[in-house]
Amino acid sequence: MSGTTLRMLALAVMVAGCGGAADEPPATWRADCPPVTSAAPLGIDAARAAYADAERRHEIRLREAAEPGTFLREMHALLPWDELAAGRMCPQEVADLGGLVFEHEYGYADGLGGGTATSNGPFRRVHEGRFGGPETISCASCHWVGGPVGAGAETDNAFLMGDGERPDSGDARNPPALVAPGVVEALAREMTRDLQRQRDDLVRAGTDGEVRLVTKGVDFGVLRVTAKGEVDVAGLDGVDPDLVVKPFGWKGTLPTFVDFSNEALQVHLGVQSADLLARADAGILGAGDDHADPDGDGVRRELDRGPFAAMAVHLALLEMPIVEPMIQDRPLQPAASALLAPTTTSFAEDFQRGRAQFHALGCATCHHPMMVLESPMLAVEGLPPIDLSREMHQPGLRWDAALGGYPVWLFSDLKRHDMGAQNAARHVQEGVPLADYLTPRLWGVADSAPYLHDGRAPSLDYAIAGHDGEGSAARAAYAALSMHEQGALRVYLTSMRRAPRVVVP
Amino acid sequence: MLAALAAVLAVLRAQAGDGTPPDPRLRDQFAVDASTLPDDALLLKQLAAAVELRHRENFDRMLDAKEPGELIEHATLTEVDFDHRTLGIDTLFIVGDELFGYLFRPENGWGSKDSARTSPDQSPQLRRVHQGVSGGPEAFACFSCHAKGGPDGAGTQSQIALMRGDGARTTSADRRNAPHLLGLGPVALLANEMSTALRAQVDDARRRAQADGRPVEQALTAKGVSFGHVVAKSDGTLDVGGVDGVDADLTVRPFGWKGHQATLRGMTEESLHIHQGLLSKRVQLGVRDGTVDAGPYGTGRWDDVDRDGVSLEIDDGMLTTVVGYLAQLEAPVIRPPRDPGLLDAFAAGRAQFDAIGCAGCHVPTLELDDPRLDAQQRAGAELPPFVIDVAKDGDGPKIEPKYAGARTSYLVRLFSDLKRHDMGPALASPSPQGTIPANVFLTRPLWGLAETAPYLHDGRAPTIHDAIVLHGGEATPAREAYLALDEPGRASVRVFLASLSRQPKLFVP
Repeated sequence: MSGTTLRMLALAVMVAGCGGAADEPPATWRADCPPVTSAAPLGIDAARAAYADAERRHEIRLREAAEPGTFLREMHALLPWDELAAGRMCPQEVADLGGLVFEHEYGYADGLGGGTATSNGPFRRVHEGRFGGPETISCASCHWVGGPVGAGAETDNAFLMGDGERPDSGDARNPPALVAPGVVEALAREMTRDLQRQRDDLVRAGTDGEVRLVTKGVDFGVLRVTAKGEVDVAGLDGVDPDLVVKPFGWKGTLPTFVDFSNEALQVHLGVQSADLLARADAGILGAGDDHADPDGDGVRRELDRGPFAAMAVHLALLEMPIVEPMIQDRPLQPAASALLAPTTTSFAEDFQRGRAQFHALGCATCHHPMMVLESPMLAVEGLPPIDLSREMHQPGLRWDAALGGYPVWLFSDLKRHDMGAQNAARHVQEGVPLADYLTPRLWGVADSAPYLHDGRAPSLDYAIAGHDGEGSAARAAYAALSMHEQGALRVYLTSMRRAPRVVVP
Repeated sequence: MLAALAAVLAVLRAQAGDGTPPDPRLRDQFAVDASTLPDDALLLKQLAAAVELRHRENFDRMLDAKEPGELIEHATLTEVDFDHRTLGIDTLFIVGDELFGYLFRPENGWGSKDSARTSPDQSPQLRRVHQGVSGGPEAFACFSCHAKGGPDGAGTQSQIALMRGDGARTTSADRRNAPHLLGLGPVALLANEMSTALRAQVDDARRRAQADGRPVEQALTAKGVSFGHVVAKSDGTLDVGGVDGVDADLTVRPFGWKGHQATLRGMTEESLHIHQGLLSKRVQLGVRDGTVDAGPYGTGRWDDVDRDGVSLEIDDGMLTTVVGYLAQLEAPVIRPPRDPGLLDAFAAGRAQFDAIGCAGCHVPTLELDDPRLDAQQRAGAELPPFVIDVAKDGDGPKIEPKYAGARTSYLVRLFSDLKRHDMGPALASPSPQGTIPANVFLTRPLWGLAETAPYLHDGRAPTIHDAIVLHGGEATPAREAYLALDEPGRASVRVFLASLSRQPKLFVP
């Protein structure tokens, strides 16, 4: 696509974006919801809750075995869209049920797969074009490393936009951990708002001019405007001409995790949400005659807005990771006979040096450590805005008076960068150049191995070595460090982990 | 209960769209019920253990971050360690657990010449579709395909192994769904006892044939499972044409979907090779001595057959460790429903399971005489045995003793006869696997089934119902009998199967 076409497209998107967004004044959630209780993450109440969850999961599975399709039918009945949209339920209750939707294992009765199912089953390990696989039966199937809603293993790699047969024909994508997507989306929305405001101010000025687009400390290049109102986006850096920050997908192609979920359900499970049916084209949906069943598997309207929105609320409320130097100060017994007991060791000093290196080497330029979120309110999927600072799981958003907002330690600039030939994709995705990727957020990185977009890096060293393009200077700087200093940087990175929590699988 | 629920749903459907809130009775279906929780003392103990394990793992991970190599060191017991140190059974569990979760790196021998690089400057190359019998590698760790439903669980559909392919096309490969690894110790021992019994029957027939000077036809039966018959000739030779469901050498091989591996050691060695590109010392020495065909392993010299620049990849001690670890894993359990209506269905389903013939191959219980497993498991090994008691050591729950008291056998509720059967052309693999025909598979043990969807050897069946109706060949009558049941009857069979689960346990992942 030429630069000019892109620019024109950008303006079109802008206009559409402005016109389409405003629906009706947002409703609010009901006022009488019970207060949000957050049990100590490793306390006995959390343990009880985890056991109870496991019992419930088992019972649901037994009911589903008795009557396939029961679960989703019940979710549709329990989560009517108009009830949700009007805020007549409570966010915690909705998220609780949404978590069940997330881990549900879909069957044919639920609309799993497309019309291509044969006696060999519905699965296709390599995607065929944009239509996808499906290669699995649940979201949890590829999001488990480091615990529920975690990352995927290298074996879980998706092969996007392939020929349906050869992994090498597609783009290998390692499933990322679903870490606090609500907070990420809220940040991206504020960034988009800032960038577009800067553009609009410039256009309104009505003279030739340019502006350096900066938001939350991240520089997105230069935008030029003529007196006639023509916008020149050639100087933009790491963001699309529509100036919408898109923090989801390895290539940063999706502005909301709802978009991400809609697409993932279709390409990985062959499950078609109401949203996707309403918005997507036949390339991704399938070309069947029935508009409510374009994938032709005989199940119409597979996932309606209610249960889907509940799943979105579940995701929005997921907790944030922690960054914590490890101090092993407890005298511990050996784990077993003939093994040495862990020594008391503090990694605090390595952590400090590693953090200094993280900045000195230039890692922090793209893996921007912290952004300040101004408002904790997030409207998901047309629902009343949710106050993340109140509703999300702990560790959650904490107001910082000195910063005038909520610090979010995500270690990303939410911007796209050229990662070099070594990382180039096979297919252009949503117009994003082959070698361009969004800076992956490093929070929780210790619990998400393997690394890189194709999961080819089994350890942090391989991940760092896989940086090319704009990342090659930092890579070279790391390679030039002494073993000792490299170790400190890895210790710092390994301190970025998921908050520990109790789970009964 | 089901009828009541249907009524609720009918009401709800009628009300849909008029803004009436959902019926609270339906909401109760999804309430969490705290009535069956473990008591607080037990819960606190489990919690403390889980938190400490997490802490230790974090510590090890941090050590490795500081100085790479610490993790693999913690995951390694060499033969020398077995020689010189006083290792406990618990040592094998802890170290085996580390090894199971370790992401192998090229410097540990991961991959082969084509796939691995010894310096971090060049990326490891995953190969998702196996290249013939030399494999992928498509995985860095064992747990990359064994974590569904909990540690040492099954693989998901995305984790499907694409075996014996052309290295490029998924359609060229024989797809294999990774099974869960619970209860493998008892299974290995059962198979061994069955092999011993079959061989004793053959030896007995041989003796009689020679003594009587005429052919003797001998039925082969082990633990109540018939394996056909042999005819012993008076000249000492054996006609094995009538042997059924087991190899002609009468070794029961309980591992692999087609039942091609007899021991945990063999299974582990093969898996590390084809999925991670890790070669055992045994293979290397075998190549050196000309007793092992280097074909599947590589073209290099014996001390680096796979030409990845790493000589010693999997020490014998590491295989012993994994075997000792697997042998100590828990056994699956049956978790009946709590809902009264479903509980009735469960009970009816258990009876139907026998009545419609599922139990003919999925034999509910096999009886194990001796629960001692030697983790060394090496023919001709000079090392003293390292004995694991699979009824006692490691993680619970364990297989249950048949009698109280010291002298007892054990009931292994695995739902398999550990025998191969013809499953019909529709389920056949693309080609035979060694000497095992394309349409022949081992009866898959069903214990722990609930957490292992999707089902069948290639995971083609998303649900239990799909799995049942895809049975063919010898299982056709059972499938037909299932389909001939009324819907509540079929549902009861599925509810019973979905109760085959594992004990819920607490983790801090």
